[in-house]
Amino acid sequence: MSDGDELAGCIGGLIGAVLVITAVIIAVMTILSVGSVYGVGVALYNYFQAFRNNVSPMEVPA
Amino acid sequence: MSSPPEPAVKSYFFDKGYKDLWQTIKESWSLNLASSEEHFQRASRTGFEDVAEGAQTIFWWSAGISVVVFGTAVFAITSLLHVALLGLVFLLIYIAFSLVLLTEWCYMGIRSFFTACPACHEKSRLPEYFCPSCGEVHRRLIPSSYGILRRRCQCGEKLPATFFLDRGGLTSRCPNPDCHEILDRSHTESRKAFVPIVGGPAVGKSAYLFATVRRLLEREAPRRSLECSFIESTTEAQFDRIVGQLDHGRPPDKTTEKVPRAFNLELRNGRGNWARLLYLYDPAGEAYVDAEDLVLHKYQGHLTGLIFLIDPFSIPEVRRLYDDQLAAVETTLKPSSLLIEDALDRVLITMESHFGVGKTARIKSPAAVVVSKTDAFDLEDQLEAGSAAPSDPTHSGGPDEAASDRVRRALIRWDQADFVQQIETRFKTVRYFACSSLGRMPDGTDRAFEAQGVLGPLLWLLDTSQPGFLGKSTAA
Repeated sequence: MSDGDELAGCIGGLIGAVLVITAVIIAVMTILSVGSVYGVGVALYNYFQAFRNNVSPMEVPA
Repeated sequence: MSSPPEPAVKSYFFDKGYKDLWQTIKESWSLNLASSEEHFQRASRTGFEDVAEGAQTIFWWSAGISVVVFGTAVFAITSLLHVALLGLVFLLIYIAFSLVLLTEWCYMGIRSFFTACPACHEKSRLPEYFCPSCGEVHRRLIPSSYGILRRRCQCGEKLPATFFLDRGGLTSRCPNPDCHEILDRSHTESRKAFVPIVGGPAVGKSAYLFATVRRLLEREAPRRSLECSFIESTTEAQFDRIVGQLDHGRPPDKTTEKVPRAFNLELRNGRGNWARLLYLYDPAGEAYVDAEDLVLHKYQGHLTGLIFLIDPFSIPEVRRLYDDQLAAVETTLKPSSLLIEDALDRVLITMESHFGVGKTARIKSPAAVVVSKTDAFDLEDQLEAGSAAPSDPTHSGGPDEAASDRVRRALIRWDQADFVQQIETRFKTVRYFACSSLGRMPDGTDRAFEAQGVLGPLLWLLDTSQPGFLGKSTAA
């Protein structure tokens, strides 16, 4: 194997590693984003749940 | 100034809205805490054994953190929106009821509407109203946080909260806690005139009052196309009884109430588009013996004018003139025992000490000084005597001024210059009148009494103090 092949292998490995790390980061970020959106949804759901439980029209005697 | 709560359902945006908001904030916060805790627990139950499990752990951690971070932000933003919305509606309602209230106050102010109790004489902006369904008392039935135009009573009944929606149709009472007299609609929703008849015991105030009211009802009201009515059946019954007595030659009975109930007479024009309410007061003359007894005469605080009735036989000089004739008619003539300066002094002392009149201030309300019992002996001639030109129609002030001048001169001749000076110093406008409430001396016969010159003082007072109060004369 020539020096050129070794270099190419090295670069290829480096690119592969970068791709894998990028993919992992993207995957983690995606999961984090989905988790955050889910959290926002939960918070909104909680607020409207509380709203529904507590906000009611005036009680007017019959 | 905070008012006690009303027996009514408060507007959602002034009461329950804020309780609901607080509960919502509290509950959503605790739900957020519970949700994030649950997510953190799930994250701690999973691990990083494989990729799927690791992804789940990351997901639950991120969700937990997100619920705390974004949940707090969402919670803060939605709470702010909630507060802003409530506040906006609160503000709109506040502006709306303030505008309606201001319009009502302006309208009532322009038309001189306020409440005056005929029993305790207290003056107030509005009476207290009863709910027609449950009888609960609404102390401030005005556009407010309980409703802009209407409010709902605790019993569920809807009540009009403004003059414009016929609030006056509800039964009302005097707001004075010591009185609570049931009031008529016109005690509030009418232009009013307050005229007390002042004078010591036995000057003939009751006879004068009934003779005046009778003249007003029978002669002046038809001339002005006015419809008169008594708003209280007891007053009407009393009037009918006294008129019946007068028609049979019997003078009215002596008044015993030191704090009189107002004698109310409602006047409406023919088209029914305005109403006036006349408050005439006939306290027992004994009230003028002691100034303390006048403190409860609260109408003195909002006088339209004052009729100062003088029994000429309470004046020593007049008594001296008729010394030889008086003894024979002492029981029928009933001369008053109180000197006229003393009666005036007591009225002035009370007004100074309790009704905000300055010691040297001139009272703006006009005073009609009325010499009564002019039917006795030759008192008419005595009034004329000494006048340069009796009842002179060419008098610089006209025939009415000439007649006033005649009585004034007579009082001065009778050594009452001090009284004349005092009343003219303290009252801005004074005019003198002479009248006979009965028209003749009581002689034990059943011949009807026929009053003379009784209405002039009242008409002059009303015309001077409240021009147009009785409308225009339609007589030719």
